[in-house]
Amino acid sequence: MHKKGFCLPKKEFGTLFTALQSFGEVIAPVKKDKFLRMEKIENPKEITWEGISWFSSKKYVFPEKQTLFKFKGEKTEKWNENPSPKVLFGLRLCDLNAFAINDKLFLNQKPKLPFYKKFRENLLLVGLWCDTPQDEYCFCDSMKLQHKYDLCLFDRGDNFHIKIGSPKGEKILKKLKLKAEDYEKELAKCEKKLNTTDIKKYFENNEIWKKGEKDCLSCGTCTILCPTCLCFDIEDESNLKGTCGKRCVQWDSCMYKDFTLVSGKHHFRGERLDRFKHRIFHKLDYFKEQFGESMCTGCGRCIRGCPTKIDWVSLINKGTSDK
Amino acid sequence: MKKKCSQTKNFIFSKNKKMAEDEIVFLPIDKISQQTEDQFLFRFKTTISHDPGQFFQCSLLGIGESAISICSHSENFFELSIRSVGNVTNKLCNLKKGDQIGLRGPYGHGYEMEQFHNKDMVIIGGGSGVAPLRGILEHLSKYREKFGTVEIFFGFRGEKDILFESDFEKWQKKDMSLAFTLSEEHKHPKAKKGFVTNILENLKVTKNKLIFLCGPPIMITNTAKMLLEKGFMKSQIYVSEERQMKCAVGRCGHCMIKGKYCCTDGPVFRYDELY
Repeated sequence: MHKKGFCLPKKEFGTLFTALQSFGEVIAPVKKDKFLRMEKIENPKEITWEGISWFSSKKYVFPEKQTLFKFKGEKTEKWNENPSPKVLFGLRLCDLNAFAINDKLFLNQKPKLPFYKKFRENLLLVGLWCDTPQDEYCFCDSMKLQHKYDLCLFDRGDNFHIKIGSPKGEKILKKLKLKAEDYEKELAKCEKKLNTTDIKKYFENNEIWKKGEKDCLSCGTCTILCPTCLCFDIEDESNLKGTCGKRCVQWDSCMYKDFTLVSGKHHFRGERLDRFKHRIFHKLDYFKEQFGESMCTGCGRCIRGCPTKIDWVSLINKGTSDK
Repeated sequence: MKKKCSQTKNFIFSKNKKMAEDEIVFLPIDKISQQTEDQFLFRFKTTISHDPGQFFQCSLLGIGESAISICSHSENFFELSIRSVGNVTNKLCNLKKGDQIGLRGPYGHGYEMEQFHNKDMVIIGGGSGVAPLRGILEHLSKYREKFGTVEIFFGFRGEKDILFESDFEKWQKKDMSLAFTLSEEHKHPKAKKGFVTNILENLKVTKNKLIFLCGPPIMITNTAKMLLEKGFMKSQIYVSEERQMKCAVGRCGHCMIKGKYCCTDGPVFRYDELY
């Protein structure tokens, strides 16, 4: 981390907010019916400064359902809309890293998903630094997160220290003419730790996974909440005659049995144990082999949101320390 | 058999027409022939370079897409053997000559035949799994002198389920031995009763043999187990895996086998790459 940044007195936060609004609509964490959600705001007073949003922000680059192309007869017309620019404000480092991870899969290798690039280019990511973990489910300091943001805010009491992470962020901040200052702060120390060093060894060691199998409902909540779970399905929609319609990409979940269904009614991951294991290994091992880093950012949403509170991090820690 | 997916150079029409990476091209069906009660062979005329074992995404707008492996090997056309088992394939099998099918591909990496020159080839297929192997056999027929001995073992359910029977004689004439089994009671003069593993018992193990395996999941598991027990090495066995494939470009996650994507790393894997 570099020390350099800028100082913004909190009472002048409105000026930053206006500068952000000049980029696009501002979406920030707002407490609403007990949940912290990312919602469009008009006034900085609406922002909730504590906590981590219940849902991740992945839908802003990869909507739940996205049209690939429309068709009429045999004529196809590609999706070619321009998404409106948005500022995602108050993202935690885990979510910021999730964007970088999703970029690896969908942006940095060919063929690209055309819509992903368009959504991504129209986003400004503004982080909010965690001095302390947001709750007992966070384990981000085990995940080697990096400084990936356009701008990031650090709370210093009466002031914000703002760091610039990209030319896009610099362009916005330049408008404010802030005083430069040096500041450094380590990421929050989480109580929850994940020991991922040699997870491969434990693939066949089913003792670790058995509790997961017992409690898992295959409901898919973990994959919906996860900021990097973007496995998808492709589906066609048409009118009754089938003469016109569209082909859509929509979120899917590897927790569902039919995810691996092939003809002959064979499920390649028909057992709950296999599905439970597959998701964790994709996060911690498979993705690492492909791209050199873990796919999990330690946001803890999959445990926080799990209806049976399966704490797979403890399962792994327990399994890997029993020696 | 380590090669990054050959997609970019092999995209349909890459020779004469520029094609965007994910674009669907509509081709008219040149020929349809019925193979079994619910399986049909579709031929499309086009100059296209492909390896046996690669696959196409066949789509019908408004219904969906389905991954179908190429079962021929020619410079002037390609053939797809499609069994009517799902939404897309049911509809596909009701089409007529001249109707258009949306195609993108060929995807994945298949059998790179140049690597197998001078090897003794053992082809083992079960049911519809015979289709991708037919591409190899077509290639072998054409370049027979470049390969060693060829043994073919097929397994089908019943007499009416035999695929590509009209090709059997042609292959045998090219000095390839062929035996097949039917698991149901039958009166076929050439077939043995049982599963394909039953006729593999006398297969001799030599170091120069390569085994090409494709079929239903249970057949692949059992056959591979038997071959390994007989003394073949994992590196001698190539399997063509079947998975649910949606995007075919290594994104959607459906076809993942452990850390590998069946659509881009496969569908043809050397056995030791996976297990």
